Amino acid sequence: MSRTALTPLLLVAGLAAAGCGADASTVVMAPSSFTGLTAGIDAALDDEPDWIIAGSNRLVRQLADGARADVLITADETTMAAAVAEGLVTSEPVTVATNRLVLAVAPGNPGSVTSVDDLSDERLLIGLCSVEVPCGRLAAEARGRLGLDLAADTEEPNVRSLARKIAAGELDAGLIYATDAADLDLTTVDDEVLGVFVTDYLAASLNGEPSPVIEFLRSPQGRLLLTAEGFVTP
Amino acid sequence: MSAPPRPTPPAIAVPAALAVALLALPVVGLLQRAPWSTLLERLTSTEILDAIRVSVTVSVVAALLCLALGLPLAWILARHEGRSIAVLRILVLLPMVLPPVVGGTALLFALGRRGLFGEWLNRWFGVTLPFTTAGAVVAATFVALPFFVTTVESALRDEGPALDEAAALAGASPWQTFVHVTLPALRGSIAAGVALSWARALGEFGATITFAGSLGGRTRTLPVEAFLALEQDPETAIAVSVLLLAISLSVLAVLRGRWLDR
Amino acid sequence: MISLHGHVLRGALRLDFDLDIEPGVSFVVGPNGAGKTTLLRVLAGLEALDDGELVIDGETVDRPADGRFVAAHRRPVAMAFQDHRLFPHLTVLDNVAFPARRRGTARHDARAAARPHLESVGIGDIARRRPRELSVGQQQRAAIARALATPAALLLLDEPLAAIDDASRTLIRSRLHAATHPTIVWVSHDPTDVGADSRRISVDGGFVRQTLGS
Repeated sequence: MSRTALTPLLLVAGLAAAGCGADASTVVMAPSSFTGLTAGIDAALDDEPDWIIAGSNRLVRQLADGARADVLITADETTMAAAVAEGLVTSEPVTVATNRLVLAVAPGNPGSVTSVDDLSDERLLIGLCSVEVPCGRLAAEARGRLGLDLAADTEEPNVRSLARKIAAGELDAGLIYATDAADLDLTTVDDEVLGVFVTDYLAASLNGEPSPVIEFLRSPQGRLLLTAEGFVTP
Repeated sequence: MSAPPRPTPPAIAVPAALAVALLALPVVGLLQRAPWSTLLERLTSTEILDAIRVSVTVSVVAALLCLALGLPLAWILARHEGRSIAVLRILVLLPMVLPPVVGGTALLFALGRRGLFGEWLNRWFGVTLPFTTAGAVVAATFVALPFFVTTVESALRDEGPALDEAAALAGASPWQTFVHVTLPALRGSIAAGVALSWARALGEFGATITFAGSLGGRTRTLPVEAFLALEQDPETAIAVSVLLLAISLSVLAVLRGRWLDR
Repeated sequence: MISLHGHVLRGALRLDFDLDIEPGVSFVVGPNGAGKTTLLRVLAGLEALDDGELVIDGETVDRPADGRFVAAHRRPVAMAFQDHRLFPHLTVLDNVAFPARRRGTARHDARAAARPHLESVGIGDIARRRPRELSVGQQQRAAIARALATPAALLLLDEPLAAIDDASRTLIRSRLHAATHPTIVWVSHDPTDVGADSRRISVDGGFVRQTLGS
């Protein structure tokens, strides 16, 4: 059952998919954390795929609305499971990477943050992802299991905008992904405590055939590329 | 005893009909998708009620700020000429042409903790605007101000200095003229300006979420709520959109009477 | 006594003034576009001299050489405009009471003082109406009443009877002649307005001068 388009992204994705259909090149849907990887993957493959980068939830929604794609990569298990449940994914999803939750601090650490306990300090400006997105769910899991008191001042709609605000010094600290921290050269603290909180990136082929993209990601070169970005490989 | 309405030429009627379709169809689409059976239940959840409270507070304060700051500015623009006035007018229109997220980013550069002016505010007064309700008000006022100023300035220009001169010759000082002649004569366009700027402030998203962030009960407005709900609960997103539509339409309908009565 | 000497230059129009206006009624006559309204605007303080001096009752209100210029609202001048300029948001009564209100008179007293002025130009019965409900003739009468209600040493009238119907013209004409303002400068096209012994100010060919009789 199709839904009325509510975001312009849908229109773009639809157009992109339609355009790709004409060229018959591979369409890969990937989450925002993969933005830095696309160039490396393009270089390694004969056939450069067309990338559709968006939040995992949105990617699944686009598929449900009829967008055409060959590969789906999601930023957590939950979203992939939802796609499978809706019958959008028929082949077996595999884990291609893992992202860790980290506590990143602003350049120069103006808030003198040294551990997760400092996040309860009302005087600091703390940022989290909102719980509607995978990064936020992971942070909520950490909060629950560690019994943390998080005095958040903002719950950003995506991890990228959160990471950028920390990098700009507008926030003192925040819970983001290791890949975003690496990308923006942010210092992280209390890695061991948070290291257990991870999210698995699952990938599945949508066209019934093995995907060169997924094969590459699981190959040694692919793993090197992922690790360089800050991912942990299985 | 009124004359029969003159026929509308097709060259006018057809584009006008297309315009109406462009405006009306998304609204119809929205209403058709709305989860009517669960609407009330969704809209009275704590989260939504919080968002309503934040949205109403921020948009009303922003509209009042637009009035307080925009009226003097409109007066200056309308009653003076020259190159500096032309430059000023471009500045006023800037928020209208900037993409809202760019506007929000610019606000961070200016008023953020590490911002040009914000750093000084923070260090000397301990005032932080980002991630506060006040910050949301600033972002909303920034995008809504041009709507107020352009509405009132054009009305002031139309009026011209004629009444000001008559008031002066009746013994009124410039301030008395402003209070007793200019303002009352502008009642209609001031109301229209407030309504427009309020509506813009209510629907503001990009600049708000970039500058003020999003936190329930503090900065999470209805548009932000709708955007985030889209991730996993699109039915609620539609419900919030219907609510925003209802609020805007009812206020505009109330003010419509004023607009006609100029 | 009003002394106006000097000139203004407005685009292509240059007006040279040479006037010493005694108390009483002076009529301003001249061809259309010659600058009669400009003369009134200079006297009123809505325009400034480019050179020269304007003195009203001993007070220098305009003297470019010294950088001296007294704004319109501070001059002892009242004016009935050719295009009326009633305040649209006020009733006729409140329009005429406006000058008194700005001087600090309480509303009730200002309105009471305004009524006789309305009666004297024949619009006492439409005191509660708004300007947009009035005919052009009624608007002009209201504008006259407002000027009459403005205490001043100099009363300026710009074609005050243009919109008045023939039947009422005599009444209002005599009312204007009887105005209590010491000096009246009256722009008029109508020879009937000008009394035989009235002074004339001629605006013609760029010169503004007093002429006698005829």
